[in-house]
Amino acid sequence: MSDLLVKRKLCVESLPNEIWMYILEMGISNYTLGHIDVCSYSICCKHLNKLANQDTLWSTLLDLKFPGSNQDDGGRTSSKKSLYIDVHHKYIHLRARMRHFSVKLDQMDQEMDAIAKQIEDFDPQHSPETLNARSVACRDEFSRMKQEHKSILNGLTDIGL
Amino acid sequence: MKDSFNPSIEPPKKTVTLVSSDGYDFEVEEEVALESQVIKDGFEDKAVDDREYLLFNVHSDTLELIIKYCEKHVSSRKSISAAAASSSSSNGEEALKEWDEHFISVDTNTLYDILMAADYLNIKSLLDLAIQKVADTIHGRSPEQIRKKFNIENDSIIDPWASE
Repeated sequence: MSDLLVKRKLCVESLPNEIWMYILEMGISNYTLGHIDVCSYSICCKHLNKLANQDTLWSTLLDLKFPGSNQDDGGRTSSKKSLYIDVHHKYIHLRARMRHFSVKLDQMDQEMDAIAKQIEDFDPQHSPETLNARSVACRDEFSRMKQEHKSILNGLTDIGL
Repeated sequence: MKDSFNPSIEPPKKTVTLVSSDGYDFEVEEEVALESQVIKDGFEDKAVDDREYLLFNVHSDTLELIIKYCEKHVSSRKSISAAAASSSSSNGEEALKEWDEHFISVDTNTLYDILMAADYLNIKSLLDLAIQKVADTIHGRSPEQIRKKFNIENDSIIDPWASE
């Protein structure tokens, strides 16, 4: 009786598209699947590729990963996926800049410690020449740091923070 | 035994007969069958002596699993609400979650079958369980690994992940 229903090797087409879509939708909205997973899924075969490029999925990904970025850009990008790629690249770029600033701030922190130490070491017993030279050095260092601080602030303003 | 599936719980309860695509009869309790939204929807309109459902899309192997799942969920729900009524502490939901996890750890073909059957019978919780299983399987895997796992034939022209 079961001759007609011999266990066959199941494949992508065995499942209706709705289920494949549901897998992506559910995986994305409960954070199981990120854009890398969706891309892996989409290049498995042409069939899944069509499904995984749909705007609704990339809209959800945008909303979850980059809240507020999912706006109509007046047709500049052809699909939600390309909008996502755009936003993602911007994000990578910003992250690199933030890292750069963070390294700079760490450096400044160390430099300030060094200045503080120099000021602590001031000793009224020293000759006026030594004191004068040290105070000039500290002042120079201080104004250099002030410049650097300003450049970081400007950088952050450029980013929009 | 396949053709006389009867959990024999007393007192005798109202039963429904489910017939698999390969012709096996499964007699199950009414409330177990009603886990399927499709059966539930047309249930009241059916005559009491004609509660037989021909499930053309569900093979007996799969139907057995589906019934096992529904029975477990019906009985767990009862014991959870009983525990809540007597305000005794219970880890029923945790235990059920673990049971689910174990239940859905099956090979790909079986997972496909369960997906299709849960979709066809509209058993939301089982469909969600199976879907989540697939999503978990996809997570962190390369296209080649996903293809292998789900018997997907590679017909892509360009595979940007392929190593030269």
